Parts: sequence; C-alpha cells; structure tokens
Amino acid sequence: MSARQLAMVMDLNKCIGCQTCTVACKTQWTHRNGREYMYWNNVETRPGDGYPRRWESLGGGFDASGALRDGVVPSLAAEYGTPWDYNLDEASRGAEIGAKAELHVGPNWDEDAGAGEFPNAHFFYLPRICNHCSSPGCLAACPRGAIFKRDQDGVVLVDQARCEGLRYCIAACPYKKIYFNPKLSRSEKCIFCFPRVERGLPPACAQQCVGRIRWVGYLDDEESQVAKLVKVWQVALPLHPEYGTQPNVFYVPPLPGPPRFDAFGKPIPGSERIPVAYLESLFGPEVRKALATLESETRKRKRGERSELLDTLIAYRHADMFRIPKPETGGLVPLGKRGVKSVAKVGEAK
Amino acid sequence: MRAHVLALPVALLAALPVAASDADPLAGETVSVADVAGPLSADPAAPLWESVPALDVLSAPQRTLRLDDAKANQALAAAAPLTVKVRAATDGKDLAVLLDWPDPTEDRARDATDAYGDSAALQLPQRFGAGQRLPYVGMGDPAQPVVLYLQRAGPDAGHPISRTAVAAGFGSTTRAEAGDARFGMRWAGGRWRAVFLRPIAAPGTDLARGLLPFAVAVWDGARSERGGNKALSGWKLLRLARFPADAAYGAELSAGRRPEDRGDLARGRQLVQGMCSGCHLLPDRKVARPGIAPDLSEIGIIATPAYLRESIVSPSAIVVPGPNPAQHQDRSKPVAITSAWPRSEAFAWSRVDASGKVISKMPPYASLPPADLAAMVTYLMTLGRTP
Repeated sequence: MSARQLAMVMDLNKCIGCQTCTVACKTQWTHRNGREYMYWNNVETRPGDGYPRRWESLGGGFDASGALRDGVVPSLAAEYGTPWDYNLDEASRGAEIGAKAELHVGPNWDEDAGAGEFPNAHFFYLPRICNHCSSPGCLAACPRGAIFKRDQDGVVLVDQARCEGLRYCIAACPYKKIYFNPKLSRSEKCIFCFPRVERGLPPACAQQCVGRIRWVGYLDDEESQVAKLVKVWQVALPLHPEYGTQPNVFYVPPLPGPPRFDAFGKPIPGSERIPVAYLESLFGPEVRKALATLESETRKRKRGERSELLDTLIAYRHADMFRIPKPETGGLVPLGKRGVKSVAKVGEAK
Repeated sequence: MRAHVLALPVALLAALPVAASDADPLAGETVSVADVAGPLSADPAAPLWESVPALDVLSAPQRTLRLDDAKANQALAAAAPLTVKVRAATDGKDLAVLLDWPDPTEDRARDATDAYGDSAALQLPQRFGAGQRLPYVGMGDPAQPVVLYLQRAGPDAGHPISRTAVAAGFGSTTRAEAGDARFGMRWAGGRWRAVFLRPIAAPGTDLARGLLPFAVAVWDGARSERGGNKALSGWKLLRLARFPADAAYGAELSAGRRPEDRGDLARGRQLVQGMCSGCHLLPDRKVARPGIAPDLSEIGIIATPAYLRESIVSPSAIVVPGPNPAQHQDRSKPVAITSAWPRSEAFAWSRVDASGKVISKMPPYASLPPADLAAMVTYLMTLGRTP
C-alpha cells in the first residue's frame, strides 16, 4: 500500500508486437551482469505459453482466504530459456548462419502461433512488465523484508543490500516478473524506470512504444488519461485480478475481432474470432462491459459523433499520454529517502 | 535425501539424561575442544580431525515459519531430523569447529535460477557467560543478538561462498565484521565437512571463556533449502579447557537438566496435549490451524528446558517474530483507498502494547504448580527425538 500509485495502461488493440519496448528495457537495464536471460518487459503472443513458459501455472499470489499461495521458481533451461549466441564471426566468412546452441525454449518461443485453424486462426500480443501491485506477493513472501513499495508512487523495488537471493519472492509473484540474477545472487525486477520517473519522464518501454499503446500516470490524478481509462471509462483492466495482488498495469482488452468463417468461407454473423471467454480468463468478468463500451464508442464515432474515449485511445499527442509531475529539484531523490518520502516532500530534500 | 536419525525408544531416551546427569547435566550437550599445536587450518580434510572426538548434535527441519516455495515445502513435509557431528579444536589463538553431516548429493550454487548450494552455519551468542540468557535459537532476539558464520558450496570447490553476519531475530541477518573468519567445505562419500575458523579474540566478540554456547544449521540444496528452510540444532556448548571454567554459568545452563528438574513424562504429555494443542501442532496431535503459533513437533531438538519453561510462564519474555503479516490479507475488512487489502492480524503472533512493548498473543501460564511445569518441559524436550 502506498499513498499514491503510478499506473500504466496498455491498449492491446494497438500493440503490433514489434518488441521495441522489450529492446528499450533490455538495452537500458538487462543486457549485462547475469541479467541476460531476463526480460523485465516482454511481449508474448496470446493464446500461448508466455514468458517464462506457462507462468500462469507456476503458482504465487493470494488465495481466496487472503493467504499467500505456494509457487515455483522457474528454471532457466525449461522455462526462461538459456540465452544463446549466433555464429556471426563464422557467418561473416561464408558459413551458414545459425545458433551456437541447440535450442529448446526461448523468451518468445511461440511467437505468433496463437490458436485456431485457418481461416479462423487468431492471436494478439500481451506486453508485460512488473504490475507494481498494491498487495505485492513478492513483498509478502520476502523473509528478509528486502522488498518495499515506495510511498510516493507505489513502485515496488528490491533493496539490493538486504536481498540474499533466497528467491521466495519469485515463487510468490504470480506474474513471474521478479528474476534471480545468478551472477550477483540477488533478485531483480522492473523498477518502473524510477530514475526517469523522478525526472518527470515515463519508463523507457512507454516512451519508445511506436504504437503509442502505453499511458502512464497517477491513479488518483483525475486529469491523467490513465485515471480516465481505468476509473471513468473502465475500459482498462488488470491482468488476472483473481491472483489477489491488485496489479497496477491495466489493459484495454482486444476487440474480439472479425467474425469467424464457416466451412464455406462465409462470415458467421455475430461470431467472435477471439473467444470472449478466453479474454475473461485473462482480465476477469469485467471484460464484457469494457468491450461493450469500446464497441458503442466506436459506433458513435462511425456515426460522426465525438468520442473522447476514442480520441484518447488514438493518442494524437504522445505527450498527453504521460502525466508525471517533475520534481522541482530535477534530480534523483536521495537514496535513503526513496522508500519513505512522498512526492510533495521531494523538493525539501534539496 | 537425508539419512534418517536412529529412533530411540522413549524409555531408553528418558533414561539417558538421568544417567549422564549424575556426573554432569551438560555432558550430552558439550563438545570438548581439543587443545592442539597450531597453526589451525580451514581444511576439512586436515589429519588433525581424525583424533578429535565428536558430539552428535540433532538438527530439526525449521517448521516455525512457513515459506512459500512449493518444491521446498514438498521436501520439508518429508524431512526428518539429522545428526551433525561436531568437533572443535584450538591452539590458543584460533578456534576451529568442524561440522560433519550426511548428504547423499553434492549441490553447488551455479549459473541457474533454481539451483541451491548445500550450506552450513555456526551461530554464537554476542554476549554469554553467567547472568546472560541464551538468545532465541532462531537467529537470536532483540535483547540477545547472535553472530553468524555461513558458508555455501559454490562453483569453486576450493572456496565456499562465505559471510559473517549479526542477527537479532528472524529476517534481521545483516552482514558484519566479526573476527577474521576462514571457511572450508568439502563433500566426500555422502558426507559434507565444513570448518569454521576464527581468532579466539576479536573486537566485540571475545571467546576466551571456559564455556561457549553455539548452535549449527545445515541446508540441503537438493531439497531447495535456503534461508529459513534448513535444519537447525538447539544451543550446545564448547568447553575450552584452556580457559577458566565458569562454574556459575555452567550451573545456569544446567537448569532443567538436573535429575531433580525432571517431571512426570506421562503427566506432561497429558497437560501439553490438553493446554497447547489448540494453537500449537504436536507430533501426535495436529488439530491447530497451521501458522497461528509455532509448530512444536520437533521443539525438543531446538529448545532448551530453560527456554521452554520461560515460554510457558512468561511468553512475552522472548517473542518470535511471527509469519510476515504481509503474507496474509484480511478480506473481511474493506480495501484501502489504494485498493489494497489490509494486513490480517489473525496470523500475527504478537501485538505491541501502548508502551511499545511486544506482547505475545499466548497467555502466560504463570501459576502452574511446579510439578506440572516440570512435567510439561520434560515432555516437550522429548519432541522430535522420538518417532
């Protein structure tokens, strides 16, 4: 629980799976020192196994009574995929290009596989970062109290000086968005680019998104488009709310798409290419209401009427998507005060 | 998998301490530190150890705090106490302690997300001697902190991953300087040997005393053991003949172990099962809701009689920090403005009173007849030691 909560909304109707967010994150944070296998931001194809592979079956989160559920720590070889290199040197001298290892699983192994048979095949992309939950499973599990949630923005961080690499947090995160660094023997995770946020900038994944699918703002800031999408229009929903951690990344669900085709190639009126039941399994029962709102606003627009919701989702101006107050100091909050000071007090820390 | 400890019949076990205590109530609890010519080495295969007698120290799986790793918990459910052989030697300048325990597999921390190295730790009180209560055996307590020496099998067989730390309760372990310690760890033929070596005199922690309490813990990486998932012993003693024997301290530590302290085992069993099983899990009476109080199934291995007596009469004297309350959300209460459930207090083992003192939720049983109290302690000390 924190005084304020920074949140992100991602519109899955606009995600093209280009992985620019993934690369922005990787080049910023995870390309070195034991983090090579980690994807703090990944984009997975749904329906699909996701990353780490079949993460939804690995436990964690809270049960109906409110107690932490046991979970599994994923393995590098079977679930994350061991990073590999290509024979680029040999290839430059004429050899056939190929991986230097035998490949079994990787971070995006089932990309674009999706589900269904032609002509009714379907898939959509699901970008995932740490949900910076209001009730983080990782924080609840850490026996050392090494994980904390910042009061000023709700960002969940691992205190690297307290962390001993015990990995109970990894078992406890139902989204498997906290990772073990075997080189440093510490747990590490998405930090919501807090050094950027503290300068008034959105996280790198949101800044670099070419599809303009990501909004960033405070949930209690009525002026932010994040708050409007989540609270006013209620078209952005948390992933797997049943895990009980109260995630703070919200998704505009994909519209069920064009109708299915029958055996003779004719569209079946009223049918859904992406089964809504599948979307419900990801985003909960609220998904039907969100889809109904999206569809009715789309019809409004088609009639030539104004729709503030669609204008927001189109994101004419990139800068409007982010509402992150810039601290007056312009610099980082001093290290010792990052967990405790509210935004209002940041200026005093000068 | 660990080898199971030979189970002793109750009658024999009950007879043992009486026989031993005729001479010295601490005989079965004490390692005689061998006086040897220096310098000592941290090599677990050093020939010196072949002539040093060992004390068999029982260690029990830690079940007081439940952690959330599914694989580790599966292994824990089948875990049984194991025997760590403890030897010690000194050359007057350094103290070396050798732990020797069975483990069929050599598991090393390596470049993987789910591999855990076999590990061992030696725990010493920061303060000891006459008038000093022993710290809570699980990482000490706020009034009596402990010094910890840990080593873990890493990728390099010659150099274990090691650290020195201080702690004052669960989860409080903090790296610290505490003597220039050296470590050595070696696996051969289904057994680990680990040497902990440090100077007798070190700033803030001088061991030049005749009686030195210690406890040990070992971790089996094959069972995903790390952190609180481990096997730990109770407080035992090192007797250093080179330094003056502290008779007063010896007498304090003998409390509850003398023949006259022994109570009626059957009566104790009846009382504990009647009074304690509502909250605590017992080996043959598991009716309490897990997590609401420490599991007592193997308490006889990790507790001392004095600690058990104090826990019954005055439970707030040492309050074990209970399960992390953040592990439990209270869904009977409304969610906070930040959309998070409040923490459940049902699983907290203590509360803080108006003056800031930590009060155990267990009521004090201060007015028990002395014979009943002795009987309960006598029974509790058998738990974990019998099938």
